[in-house]
Amino acid sequence: MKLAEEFQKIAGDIKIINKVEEKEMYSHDIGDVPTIMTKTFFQIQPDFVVQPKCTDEIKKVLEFANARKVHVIPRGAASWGFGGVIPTNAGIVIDLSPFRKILYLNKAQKTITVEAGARWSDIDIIAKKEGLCLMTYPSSKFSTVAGWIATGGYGINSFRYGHLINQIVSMTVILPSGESKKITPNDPEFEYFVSTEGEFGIIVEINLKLRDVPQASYPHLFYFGSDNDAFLFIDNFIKSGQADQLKPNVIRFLDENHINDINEIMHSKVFKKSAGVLIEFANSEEDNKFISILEQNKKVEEAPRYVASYLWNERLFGMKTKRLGPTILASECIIPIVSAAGYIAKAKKLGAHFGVEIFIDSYIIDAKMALIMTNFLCDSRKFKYYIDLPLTMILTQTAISMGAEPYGLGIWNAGFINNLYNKEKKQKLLAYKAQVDPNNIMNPGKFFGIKSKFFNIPAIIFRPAIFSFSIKILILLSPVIGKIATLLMGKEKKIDSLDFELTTHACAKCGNCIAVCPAYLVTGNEEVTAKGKIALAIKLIEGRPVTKEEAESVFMCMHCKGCEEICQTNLELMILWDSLEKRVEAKFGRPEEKIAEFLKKVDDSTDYWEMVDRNN
Amino acid sequence: MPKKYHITAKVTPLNLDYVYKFKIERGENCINCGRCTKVCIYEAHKRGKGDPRKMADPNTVVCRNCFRCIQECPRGALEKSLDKDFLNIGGSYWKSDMFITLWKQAEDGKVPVTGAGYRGPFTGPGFDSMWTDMSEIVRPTRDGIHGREYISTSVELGRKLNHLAFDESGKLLSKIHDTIDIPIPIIFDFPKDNLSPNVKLAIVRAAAELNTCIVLSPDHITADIKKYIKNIIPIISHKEIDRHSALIKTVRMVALDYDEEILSSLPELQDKIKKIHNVLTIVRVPATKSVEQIVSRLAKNGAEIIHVVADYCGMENDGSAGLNRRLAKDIIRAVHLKLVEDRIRDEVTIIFSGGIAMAEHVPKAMLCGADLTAIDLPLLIALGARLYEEPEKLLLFPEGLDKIAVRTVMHRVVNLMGAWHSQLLEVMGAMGIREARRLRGETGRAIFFEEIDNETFGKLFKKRETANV
Repeated sequence: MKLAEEFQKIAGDIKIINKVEEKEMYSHDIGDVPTIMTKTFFQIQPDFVVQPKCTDEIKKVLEFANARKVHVIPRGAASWGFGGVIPTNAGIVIDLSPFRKILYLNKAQKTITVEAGARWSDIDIIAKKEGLCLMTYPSSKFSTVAGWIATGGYGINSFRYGHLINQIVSMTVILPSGESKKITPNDPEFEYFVSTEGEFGIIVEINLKLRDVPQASYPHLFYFGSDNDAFLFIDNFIKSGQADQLKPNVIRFLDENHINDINEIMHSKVFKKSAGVLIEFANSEEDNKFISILEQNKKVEEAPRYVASYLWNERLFGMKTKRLGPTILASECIIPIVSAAGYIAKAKKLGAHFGVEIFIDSYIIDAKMALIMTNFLCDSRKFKYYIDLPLTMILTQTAISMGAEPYGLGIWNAGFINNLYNKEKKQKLLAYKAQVDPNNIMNPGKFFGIKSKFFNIPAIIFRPAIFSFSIKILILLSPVIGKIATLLMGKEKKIDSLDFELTTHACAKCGNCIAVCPAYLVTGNEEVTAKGKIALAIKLIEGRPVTKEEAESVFMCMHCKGCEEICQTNLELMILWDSLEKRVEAKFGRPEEKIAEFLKKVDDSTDYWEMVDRNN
Repeated sequence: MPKKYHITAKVTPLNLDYVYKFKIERGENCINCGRCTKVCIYEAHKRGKGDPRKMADPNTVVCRNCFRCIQECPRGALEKSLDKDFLNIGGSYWKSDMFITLWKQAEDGKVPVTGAGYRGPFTGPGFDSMWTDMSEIVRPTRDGIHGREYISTSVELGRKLNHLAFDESGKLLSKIHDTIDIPIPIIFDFPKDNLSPNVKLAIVRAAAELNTCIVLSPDHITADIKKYIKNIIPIISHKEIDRHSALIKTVRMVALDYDEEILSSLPELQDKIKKIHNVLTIVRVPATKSVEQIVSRLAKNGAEIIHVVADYCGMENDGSAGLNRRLAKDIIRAVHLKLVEDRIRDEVTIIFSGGIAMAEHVPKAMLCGADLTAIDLPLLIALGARLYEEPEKLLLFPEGLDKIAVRTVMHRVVNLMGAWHSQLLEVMGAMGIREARRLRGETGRAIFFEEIDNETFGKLFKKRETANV
């Protein structure tokens, strides 16, 4: 509280969020790690949140943080679930999500300059008006540009265009000292700012390469008798040089459980229940060549094109499976293609011990490696969830033991740092960290090493050596622990339809809704977004105290249906809002004046009208 | 200069179940952005009263079909389409569009503009094949309505002399007949349909308010209506003159239903009436095949005013359904020309009714040769009534009309006449005619499609059928 007031004095017109209930939105991310757990380990509630409008404001925040040795946590759409944006010991969250302008599109050079918080989806819409589009993009297309640069960087079209790093022409970063620097991939410092989760500075402006809008989309879906056959097919396709020659945008693997889940969500049997490989081409020439190659290889079974197209179009709705959950837990690794099938077999066995069904989604990222997401459904409302949680780490450890590396560290994977960086590389990173961030204000207490409450004792578990050792023990014990838990508490069952309560739990907190929410655009308050309102609904259901002011934010809604349209989990949100508004109205009444004020604010906002027209 | 005649309109919306040409519909994909509320200058789009975050249903009533909301909606969520119910109204003569015009006129007395640009027919049956002269439109014609110029729309009813006679000392010998002046060339013909008491009274009061007259059968003249007796023309059979002598003493004009006896006995009947009271007599003649012969004979027999009545679609009234029945325009011209031929046109007043549906029909009927017109159905349409021609004439009144205040109903009728009056002034101003009386028979001020078509193309396509164009 005091810190916020102090900052307020020098803040000028920097937007500060300091209300307890508003700050709560900034104490977690998409991950379904129970708050009780995060709270036990860490001080997750930030001291305050700022929403800067320009780089000078960011510099001011950093200057303040350096002087007071306060932590600074840069945050985008918070759609990565490993704790990268969760404060470990309070501090200042710099919310870059409203810092999202698209500054300049250079049609001749096919590049676009954007602010850190620009959404991939918005860039694509603007670029398409000029006949250009994104090269690669994350499956959460509504996440921020800087967010993806600072985390994974592998996504859709990565097979053809490689890691996101290849598409950055230059970017401007602000070092913890406040110095702003324009860097290009040729600069030695460049590597320190890619996939390093905000440890070295804040990315503020990015110049990205674009490509011409492709002719059309030509997806193929193949079915295989086993995961092994599928990966053999992929491996052959690549090793024969065909993949290199034909340049598919995407090669994606889905196991039979995942494919079957899609059937269950649709209540249909469109897909065959077997392992599948989705390959997508951007032009008919490549597609035709591919088809002629296929003709020689009669053994593979191909799904009709409409089925492949459906799966292709669903690529941005990865969280739909949550409807069956309502919780998804996931482990993400980058694994050699040749080890993938073996790993999946092990993972499924581990899952069976815990009474959960493992399902796999994997993107091939180059000739050798695959990004593999190992997921399972469970229910965060049940006690068994706490037994299920370590399974994600067990899965990651299993993959690592087969030659994989973790896909990002954050908090929960920080114990795997030695598997991501070798000793030399880690030393180099630490040296640079000491150089640019002597006060260690940038997103500390994770990545390089966990710092927790209680004299850092709980954090010991995350020390790489101890962590690896204990997980290995867990793996050994898993047939016993998992089975006992399953015996006592039952297997995870899939759910069929969502009611009010389940809807709130099925929310993936992916933040897609934030990107399209006009109310958020105008108020800059996450409480008014679908994500925020669901958080409120959960509080109401659980009977936790809710202030009138907090509750009234549910009325700050244009009923534009934007959130429902892009909801990754495909939730029936409009119905939810109606009943949530009714509940709040019954308890606190209807703030007519506030609504009128809100509408006026929206109406007066040029940003709002820009947003309306952008999707025109 | 006499005081300018002006009809004061008063906005009188009736919340009845109207039908509109186009229905605006808001799709599910509306994002409640409110762009439509900004672009619509007629306020057809508003935010919801109960919940201002959501858009209210579009108000089709005020929509003028400019299509701006549809063009500007960022989501293409608005749709405007022809309403099926609307298309079913009316028929081949009473076009559904006319209802919109009449309803709108009755609402605020303004002259509605429909659509953008002129999309009306350039020709068609009946009055639609007439174009009025606009040679003077370059002049500030609106002066006639609001400004300095004085355009008189009044007409005289009654017998007039062919010429005046003087004695040697210059003293006037001729006895000048009495005439009655009404300020607009429109009288009301009381509709035969069963009307609720409030509507009946309101229409009579509107006639009084406008200082025109209404033709009414004596059994409708109830106590509350008697107040306006000076504006009432009772219609009686010539056999009942004696029975209604008390009534005749209170009125200015009386109408007689035509039958063959009247042809020969008209002078005596008129004398008989004049003896009771100094009133003018109207003979009401159905527009049959030989109507011009009857009118001519009546005129020669000293008729003061002859009312030619066509059916409700402005067609000849001979009971047959034949296609070669004449239309209003041709009936009036035939009557007018017959009287001109007989050199008695100036002596008699001709009222025409039947199929006078729109404001423009009044000056057109006059150009064809009528002195004035009488209307009935537009009065009821002004109150929201719908007319169906098929399979047979059917008039549907809006529900709840009988409970609307008399004043409100009256204002609707007054508004309608206000709009028609304004349009009459416009048309006359555009022609450069300052007096409505001069419109009568001024065919030189109109272009008839058949005539110019024949003039222009007749030589080339001699056999072209112009009859039904």
